[in-house]
This record gives sequence, structure tokens and C-alpha cells, in this order.
Amino acid sequence: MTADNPRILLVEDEELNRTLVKAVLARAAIAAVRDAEVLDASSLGAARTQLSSQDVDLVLLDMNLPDGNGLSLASELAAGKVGAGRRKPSVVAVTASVLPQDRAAAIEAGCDGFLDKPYAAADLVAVVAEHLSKR
Amino acid sequence: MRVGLSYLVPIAAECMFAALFLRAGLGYLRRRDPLQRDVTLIFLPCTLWFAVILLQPLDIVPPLWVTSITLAVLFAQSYLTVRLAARLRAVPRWMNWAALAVFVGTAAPIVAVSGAVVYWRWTLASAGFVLIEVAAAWLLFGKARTRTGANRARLTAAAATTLLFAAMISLLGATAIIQKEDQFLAPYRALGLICSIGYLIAFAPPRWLRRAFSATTAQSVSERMLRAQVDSAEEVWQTYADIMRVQTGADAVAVLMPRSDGLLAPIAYAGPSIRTPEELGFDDLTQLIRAGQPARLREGGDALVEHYGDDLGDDFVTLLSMPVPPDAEGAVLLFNRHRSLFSDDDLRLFALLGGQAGILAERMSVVTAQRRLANELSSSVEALTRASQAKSAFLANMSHELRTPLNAIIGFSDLMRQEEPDGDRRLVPADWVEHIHTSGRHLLGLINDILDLAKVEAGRLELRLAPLRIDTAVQELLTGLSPLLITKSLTVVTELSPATASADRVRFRQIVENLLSNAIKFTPEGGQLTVSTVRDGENVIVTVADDGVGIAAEDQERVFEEFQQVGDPDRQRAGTGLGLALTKRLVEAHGGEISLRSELGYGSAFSVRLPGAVVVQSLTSTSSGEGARVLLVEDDPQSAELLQTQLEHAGYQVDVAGTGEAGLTAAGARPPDAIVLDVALPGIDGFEVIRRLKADRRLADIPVFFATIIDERQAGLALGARDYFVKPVDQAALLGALARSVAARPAAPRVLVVDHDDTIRQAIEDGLRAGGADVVAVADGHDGLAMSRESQFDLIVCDMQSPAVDGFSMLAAMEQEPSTRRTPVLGLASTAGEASLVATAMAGGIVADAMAGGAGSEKLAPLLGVRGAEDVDEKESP
Repeated sequence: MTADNPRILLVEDEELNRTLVKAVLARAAIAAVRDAEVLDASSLGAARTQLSSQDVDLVLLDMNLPDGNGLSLASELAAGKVGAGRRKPSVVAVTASVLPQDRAAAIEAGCDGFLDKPYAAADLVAVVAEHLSKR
Repeated sequence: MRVGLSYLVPIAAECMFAALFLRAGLGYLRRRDPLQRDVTLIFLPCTLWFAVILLQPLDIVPPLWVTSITLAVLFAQSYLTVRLAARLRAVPRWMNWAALAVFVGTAAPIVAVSGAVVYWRWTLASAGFVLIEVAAAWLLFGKARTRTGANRARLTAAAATTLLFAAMISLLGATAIIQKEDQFLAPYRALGLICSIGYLIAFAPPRWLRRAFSATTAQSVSERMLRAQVDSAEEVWQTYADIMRVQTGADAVAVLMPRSDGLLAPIAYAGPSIRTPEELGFDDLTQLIRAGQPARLREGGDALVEHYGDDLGDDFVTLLSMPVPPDAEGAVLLFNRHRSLFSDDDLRLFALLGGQAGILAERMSVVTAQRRLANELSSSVEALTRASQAKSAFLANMSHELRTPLNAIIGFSDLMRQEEPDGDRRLVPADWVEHIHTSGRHLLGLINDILDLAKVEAGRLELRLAPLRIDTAVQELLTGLSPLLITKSLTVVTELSPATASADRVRFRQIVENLLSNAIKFTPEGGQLTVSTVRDGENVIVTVADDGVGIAAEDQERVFEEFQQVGDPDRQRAGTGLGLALTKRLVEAHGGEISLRSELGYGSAFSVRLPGAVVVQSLTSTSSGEGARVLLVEDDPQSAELLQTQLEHAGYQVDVAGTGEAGLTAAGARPPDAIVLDVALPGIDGFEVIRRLKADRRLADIPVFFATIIDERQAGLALGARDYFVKPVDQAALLGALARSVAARPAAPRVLVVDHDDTIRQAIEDGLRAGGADVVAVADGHDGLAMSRESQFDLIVCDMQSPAVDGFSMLAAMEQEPSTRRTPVLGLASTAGEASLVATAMAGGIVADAMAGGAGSEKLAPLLGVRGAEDVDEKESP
């Protein structure tokens, strides 16, 4: 894994889902996705620490987190309050809250995309590939 | 002739005073009212004095004694006015006495030394009179200030006239002192006339004046009624009573309205506090109302005295009929310690105003009803909106909760599909399979909870209520959860005192399991749970307490709401978020309640209160087992031990099999009297076990009872189970059912064995006994025949060959006997030929079968299954 490899931060409190995302990405057919470095954080606090200490290309963001709603992190990123001076990552909301108002709230908070749970492996790979290609 | 035009003035005054005097006097004579007597006494001096004055111009000189008495009476007028005031309001006793003393002291010299006109005597008398009269006027003014309307005007008039009367006496005194009658005569007479008019207005106002007073009163009362801030019909009546009390100066006012039963009942009361008169109804007030006059309360009917008299102690009660449009008729009761002098004339008016109050009250009750309806409507709209919002929130939450486990299921299975195939298989990480399975189970739990909730919500939850020993039920549940408890090294303290609830055992299990698994979940490793059951009057209480994280006070209400997981968010995924909501509904469906006591950091205690049940003592005593054998097929050692103990205490012999196969083997080897069967078993399940049991003719009749956590009663009964018990098993019910089945089972078949060979006979006997038969064995035919006559046998096994036995003659003799003719016989012969000969010879049908000789116990194996005559009969007819 080289320094050029994209870096993904997975913010998700459920271990099962973290395992799943890593397994899906590691088996992706698209090399850029497969080779991406996947960091993880199980809370908003941990995510902020990660984002301040390194450049991240893409944040996969769960909504229901132990210390708050994931959207607050999206807002902070959009406002430059978190990860100041770093590369601004794309943010994709990955959530089981799929009602129209949830989606509207995600756009409002500055998310660049969303992925509804449950998702097929191919969907996850496609979303990740799409946002990594933009960097 | 000195009689001129001015003479008319004293004539008019005299006429008026005389009229007032007569009116009051007649009133007193008619009613013996002390008040009227005092009024009469006030007008007596005036009348007398003006009569004397009228005589003067006619040059009639009355005798001296007449003038003296008239003067004395005239000066007494002031004292009498004080006495009158004392009847209308509280006057200190000393004032009465002082007035009397001043009167006697000042007037006596004039009366005693009449004729000798000495100016100081007159000065003294006049001064004394004026002093007392001013005091009386002051008292009357004071009373007037407490009244309103006509009442006030009349009292004021009386007071003012009293002052004028004092002025008139002063003039009289002045005339006497300075001996210049002519100068003072005109103003003196004029004052006399004015006083008579004043007293007339005060004590006997003409009709037009009354009307004017009443109009003012009516207006002011109406205004006050309308201006009063009232919200209900009751308040309207209360306001009316209050106004009445002020207007009439009554000590107390009660307003009565007819109830539905026609009796008058108090609807409002103003006055000193009395015992609650709400429950009263009066039916004997008609007379009083008709009289329309004040009457003594003591004469006002027993009910009235009983309910008002004792508390008020008032002497007088006035009842007024109060017509309330359109057609009701109420009444107003006025209570007075004294007769009120000036209130009579407005009473009818007040009663009429009461009718207006009635209209107002009715309008108010309509308004109140409308307002209440509007409030109800808006609150139901609010409730509907809230319900609708709650439903949306519920659906959103549910969607979220369902998607979460689905994500793992779909995600991991998707990954599996992408693994390299190996023929028709794929090699996938075992973890993934585990993840899918766990998520699937979680999803199922969620769906079950949602369905249960929906059932409760729709009122479709069917509870099979039955007496349930909750202490044993809880013990069983704890036993089932012991692996979890051990994993977290939790200690369980139990305080299970015997208690029987009326509950559905499946739902009870769900309730307690939810509470226990919550407690286990939220208690850190090595913690302690306390579980107790207790009877509390008609109820039973199950309490599950832990020393875990506890629940903050502000969250304690919310824990029972759907999808509200409170506390440490790290544990958010630990449950479905429906457990406690469902538990609460289930408890409430039982008519019980659930409560929570908790403190953050000090653990939580959930208490479930359920209606208790009357414990019906089972008719079968615990020793009903009487040595009957029960086969228990149960894989969980703890459950098995619990059931085994219970059964053994009831007197059963218990064999335990850990799997379905083992159970079938044990049953085949030694058919038990009953089988208690679990459903979830390793290998073949309980349903398969019973299917095979019922397929086996030898075992089909053994009663089978399910005791399982799986609630599939219908399936169990359809497969032929005698009864179906869901764990926690109601011990008494299971034992009762077992006892009934064991008692009803066919008695052990009685078999008569006739064989001369001791070894063979013994072998046959052992084999049959092992098969559960009751065996009588004899060596020869004579004995056999005797035995068969003595008692009934289900089967006779007989050696056909041995001459010593003489089976044929025995059978022939038995065929003659009606009681033994139909008894099946198993003939034993050494060769097939002879057996068939026997069979043919006994074509009557009593020979059931024949067997080749040398019958050992292994050849008797088929007999083991022989349960009774029917079996053999079947064999008989191919």
C-alpha cells in the first residue's frame, strides 16, 4: 500500500457493519477501491481525531452514533471546523434512516452522497468508487 | 278664631302620624311581631303630641295630667327609636341603658313639675332628647350603609327623619323657653309635617315610591348578575345567592331548585358555614312558599329545621317561590335572626330576578357544555395528531430497526455469492455465516415483538388465563437462563415465596424473560440480580432487581416507550427497543401494572403486579403417582431434574431420556405408564417422537404429555398428545393430568397360564410379567378351570399337548360357561399340525393362536405388547 492510495474513514459504531464494509471493499473488483486504506472510528469523537491527524478522501458516515448524530460531523466538515488545513473529504451518509426527511437533512448537512442500508456489496463499491474518482 | 290655613299643616302631620301608628299597631296585633310593636311605640308619641297641638287653636285645654303624659311619651320617642335600631342591628347593651337613663333624667323634671315652666328644665329635656335621637340616627345610618337599594333609601330616610325630629323638639324647647310661640310656630309645624312625611317614606312608602326603589334595585341586581365572572350554572346561582344576601340583609340565603325526583334541593347557599346541604330534598315547603310571609324556622318543617336550623339557629325563615322560565319553580330561603323591617317589599322582585338568574344559569350550562365539547374536540384532535405522529415515528423507527440487521444479512450473503465456487459449493468465512445467522435471529425477534405489540394494540392478544405458580415459573426461567448468568458471572439471589397468579403462562414467561434478560444485559460482570415473588393481598408481585447502571429519573418514563433505548448509547444495539414496551402492554393486558424504581449507578428494580388467582387444590393428591412409571424425554439437565423431582415427589417412578431416540428405545424396552416429552430435542424432535410412538401399536396407547417452551399446542394435540404444557409448566396441572391418565389406563391384562412344565410355566410367567401383565399360573387343567371361573382373565395361555393338563377338556368346559366363552386362548403345541387341528376343532373361535412347542421366553416376545382382549380379538379376525 503506497502513500498514493486513497484513504477512507468509516464512521460506524457497529462492529458487524465495519467488518462488512471492510470485507466488501477488500474484495472489490475496482483496484482503487480495493487498494484504499480503510480507517475506522466507532464514535464521532474518534472520527474527529482521525480527521485532524491525516488526510482522508472519503468519509462513510453512519447516523446513529453513541455520541451524537453523524450529520453533525458532516456539518463540521462542511464548515471546516474539523480537519482544518487538510484535504476536504467527500462525505457519504450510510444509514438505515431512509425517509425523505432523513435524506433532506443529510443534504442540508453537506453530505455528498448517501447509501441506504441495507445495501448490496456492489452498491457500496460503486458509491465508494464514484467518490474516490472525484478526488 | 285662630284656625287658619296654617292649621292644615299640623292636621296633615297628625293624619300621617296617626295612619303610621294605626298601621303598625294593627300589624303588631295581627302578627305579635315585637318589631311592629316598637314601630307602633315610636309613632304613639307623635300621634298624641300632634293631637294635643290640634286642640290648642280650638281653645280646648286638656287637663294637666294629659299634657304631662303626652310630654313624657313624646320625650320617650328618642329612647324608643334606639330600641328599634337595636332590633335591626347589634347595639351594645350599655347604650340601651344609657339612653333610658338620659331620658328618665332629663324628661322627669318637666313631667313632674308640669306647668311650672322653667327654662332650664326645658333646656335639659331638649338636650337629652337630641342627644339620644342623634345616637339613634347614627345607628340607623350605620345600618343603612350595610344595605343597598330600596332598603338603604328607607333606612336613610328613617335616620334623617330622626334627626329632623330632634330639630323639631329643639324648636319646641326653644318656644317654651323664650315664651314666643308665634315666631317658632310655623317652622315647628312645618318640621312636624316634614317628619311625618319622612317617616311615611321610611316605614310605609307609597306604591309609586316603592316602584321607583324597586326599579333601581332591579337594575343594580341585574347589572351585578350580568357583570359577575361566572363560568358555570352553579356559579350563577351562587352569585345570585350572594347578591340576595347583601340585598335583603339576611343572615343566610339558600336557593333551591327542583331535582329530577320533584323534590327541592339546595343548589346554592350564602351565609355562615353549615353542614353540607347538598344531599337534601324538601317536599313539605309548599305551605311556607304559599304563605309568602316570614315564618319561624321552628315551624318550617322538620327537614328544614334539621338541616338549617341547628347550624344557623336563625329564628325566621322566609320562603319565596322562584319561577324559573320556562316551567320550573324553585325557591329562595332567607334566614334572619330578626325580622327584617325594610326588606319585605323587594322580596317578590328578588324572586323574579331569581328567574332571570335561572335563565342565565341555563344559558351558562349550555355555554359550559359547548365549551367542554369544544375542549374535548380539540383535545381529541390533539390526541389524534399525536397518535398519528407517534405512528409515523414508529414506522420510521421500525424501518430503521429492520434495515439494520438486514444490512448484515444482505451484505454478508452478497459477499458469499462472490466467493469462488467449488462445484456447487462456496468456501466462505465461518464468521460471515455466524453474522448472518445472528442478524437473522435479531430480525426475527424484532418481527415477533412488533407482531405482539400490534396484537396488543389491536386488542387481539388472546390470553389463556389460568392459575400459575409464579415462584416455580420464575425458578424454571432462571434455570433456563443459567448459561447466560454463568457467562457473565452474575449471582442471583432469589426470594421466591409461593404465589399464584392468574396469567397466561406463555406471556408470563415472555414478561419475566424480558425483565431478566434486560437485567442480565445491564449488569456488569460479577454483579448481582435479586429476583423475588410475593403475594400482596389479591395480587402477586414479581420483582427483578439488578445492581447495574441504573436509569436516570428523567428516562424512567421513556423506557416503556417503543424504540426508546436510554442510558449508555454504546449498548444501543443490545435489544430491539421493544422489549419493555411489549412487557408493559402484556402486563397491562393481564390487568396488572409494571413499575420501575431506579437510581443512576445503583441499579434498577422492575416490579410486575399481576392479579392473583385462587389456588384450587388439585383433587388428586401428590401421592397420586402410586408407583406408576413416567418416562421423561428432556435434553436440558436442569429442566429434567426439576420435572423429575416434581414427579418423584408425587410418587412416580421417573426414567429420563436425553434424546428422542433414547426415549423411543426406553419406551419400547419397557413401556411406561405415561411419557412427558419436550419438543426441542437433539436429533429427532418431540413431534417426531410422538409420531413414532403413535405409529407403534404397542406404544400408541401410552398417554403423552408435552412440556416445552414451544407454544404449539394445536400441533401437539393433533399428533395425539393427551395434553400440552408450555414451560414454565404448571406443576399442579401436569400432575393432575398425569394422575387422571394413569388412573384411566386399562388395568394390567390378567393372564392365566396353564402348563405342567415348571420351567416353561416360569418362563412364560416372567415374560408376561415383564410385559406388564398380571399373571396367574397353574399346573393343570382342573385348577385352570377353577381359576377361570373364579375371576375374569383377558387371556389364557394353555399347553394343548400335555395329558396332565388336558387343555382340550378344559377349553370345552370353558366354552360352556357364558362368562368364559369369549376369553381368547393361546394354545401351545409342539407341532404346527396339531395346533391347526386344535384351531379347527375349536372352530367356535376361542383358540386365538397356536405356537410351536418348546416355547421359551424369547418366543413370547409378541405377548409383551398384549394390552388387553381387544388386541387379541383383532388377531382373531384376519
